[in-house]
Amino acid sequence: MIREFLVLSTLLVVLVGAMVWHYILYSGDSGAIDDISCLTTMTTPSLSVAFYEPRELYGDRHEVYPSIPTISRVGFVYVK
Amino acid sequence: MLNSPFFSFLTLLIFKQKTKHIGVVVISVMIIFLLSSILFISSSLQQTLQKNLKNQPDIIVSSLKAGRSVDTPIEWIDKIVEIDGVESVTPRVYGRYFFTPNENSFWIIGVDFFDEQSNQNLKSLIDQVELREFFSTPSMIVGDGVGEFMRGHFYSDSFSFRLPDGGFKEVKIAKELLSSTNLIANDMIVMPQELAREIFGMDDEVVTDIAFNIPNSSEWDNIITKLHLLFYDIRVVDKREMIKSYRGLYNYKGGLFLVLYLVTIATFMLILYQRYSMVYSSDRRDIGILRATGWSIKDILKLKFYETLIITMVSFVMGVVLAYGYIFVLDAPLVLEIFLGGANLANSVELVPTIEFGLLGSIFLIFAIPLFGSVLIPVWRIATTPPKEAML
Amino acid sequence: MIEIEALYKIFYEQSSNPFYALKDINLTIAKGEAVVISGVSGSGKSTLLSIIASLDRPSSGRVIVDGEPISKLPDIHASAYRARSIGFIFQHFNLIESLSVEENVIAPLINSRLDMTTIYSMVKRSMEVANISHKASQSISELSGGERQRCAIARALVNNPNIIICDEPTANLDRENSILFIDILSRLKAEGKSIIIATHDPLFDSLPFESRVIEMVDGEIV
Repeated sequence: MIREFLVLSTLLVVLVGAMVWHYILYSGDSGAIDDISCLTTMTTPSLSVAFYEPRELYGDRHEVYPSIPTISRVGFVYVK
Repeated sequence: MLNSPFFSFLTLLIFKQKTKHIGVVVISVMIIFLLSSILFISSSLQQTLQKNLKNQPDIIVSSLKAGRSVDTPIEWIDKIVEIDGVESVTPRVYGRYFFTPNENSFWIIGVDFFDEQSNQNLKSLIDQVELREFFSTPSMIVGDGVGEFMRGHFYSDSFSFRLPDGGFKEVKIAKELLSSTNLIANDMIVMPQELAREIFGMDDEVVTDIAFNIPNSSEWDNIITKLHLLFYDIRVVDKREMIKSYRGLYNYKGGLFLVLYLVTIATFMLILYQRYSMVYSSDRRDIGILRATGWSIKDILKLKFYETLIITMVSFVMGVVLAYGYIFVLDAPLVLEIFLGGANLANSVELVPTIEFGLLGSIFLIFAIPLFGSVLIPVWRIATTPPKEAML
Repeated sequence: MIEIEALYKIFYEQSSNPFYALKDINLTIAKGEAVVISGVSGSGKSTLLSIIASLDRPSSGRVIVDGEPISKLPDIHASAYRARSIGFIFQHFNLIESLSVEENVIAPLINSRLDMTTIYSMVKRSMEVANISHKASQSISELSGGERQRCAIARALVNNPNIIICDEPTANLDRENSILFIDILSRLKAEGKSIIIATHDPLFDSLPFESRVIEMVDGEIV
């Protein structure tokens, strides 16, 4: 069964190697994101959240948009 | 080592009893896969956002009224400029435009394109388009998500914004941003500042907020204090808060994922512990037989330790590699929506491969230690039982 | 030589109703001697064999094998003694079902610090003595009762022990296989091995080799 073990080990090494190879050779285009954030001075992530989602409602500040106060329950009722 | 009788017997037991081990490996791989996937996504998003933070202004000030954000008077700029140590004071005009009330919305950013830096950035973003044409007619640059949404609603060349006074403003779509900008610009529309003012009904005396930089970071708190003294109704957000909020944004340490992971791993370990402790289990019998043929308790523990180590390593490596492939090669279909949301415009982000070895090591330990415990403790108990009892 | 002195084995010693599995056993087995221990179920035969094989510890008394007291050995020495000196053949064979015949026979030698070549030659020899070589690569689950018994014999003999202990060895065999088993024992006796058999099979009343019969009743030798 040593042969099977060696086959398994080799397979794992190949998988790890492929992962490392992809990691090292990856060249994403970060230039465009840099340009847009420099142009707009906005770096907040584009989270596709609805206004009623808990991420927006709770807490004393927006996780993502700290410059905007969170929507309080009372405020939400009034908006509605 | 490969010629060692112990190693031969170890691999023999593992492969001959593979049906027993495959169940453990499959569940372990699934647990590791899920946790590593979450880890990879959160690390990648955090790293990209953190890297991008260099373009974030140090301080942003806005006006508050009764604790709610309102338009900021533009005259604040003059007073802010006078503060020593402050530079690059920039008024910003932006806001959220709702396509349909309480439903899909776009993030409109008005930019002063006549600013030199803005101009340079603009040129690198829309180098193929005639700049003159961009400025001669109302035009905008849209994010990938906005473009897709508009095409879906049959706005291929231009879009008519509804104005606060009831009128409409048609704006030409000059360019759609690359999908590589989706993390921050998926729902973004970039247009000249005047156009943004028109769409939001903001007059020239106000802006949304004012951004500036303070090169000497030790002066930040001083200047923030001065700002509060200058203006009563001011809200100041500094970059430190942004950094902190990004760190916590996808923090895997807290939250539902960790709870789910802990519950899953506890259940799994309990099942394993039960399996090895069972009176009539084949493992119990096999250990008794080996003991009866001259294996000491130490030999049995050594065998089971290495057996568990191999299973742990195989599961861990497979789980991590599968997670890496799923997240960074396939771009995390299904799971990414959990992090980026799907209520507004659907977003697809190309994740930058990020491997945090420290965290992977932590996952390994959190997984391996309970696994070893749930296997070796019952094994030790069986091994210390008189072999005749164990063989029953 | 095996010397047993004032051996007691008590179960539930701390309770109000202790059970005496062995009471004051005194016995000497000479080197190369064959001893048949007879008695009904529950008479203490298996317990005695387990203690001689160091699979269990006595409550009091001593067992001395070739001058070495083995009754209170720490586990590592007791295991080494079992691996070196004892070949145990169980009533229910006690083979590892997921392994083949050869793999079961190899098990006792894994920690012997011998190299693989030596181990395989010892395994081959042992399987030949037990007449199971032709089934070496077959899984235990595919073997008949007699073949399993022969595999258990091969495993017991692989380390060339001086003492062969058999606990009801023919309880799960038919007459033909029982006779074959006794034939193997004869050959082992001829090699000078000490053989201890616990049984109530009448076939062992007239063994083809010289043997002593000891009767046990309620944990005592009568």
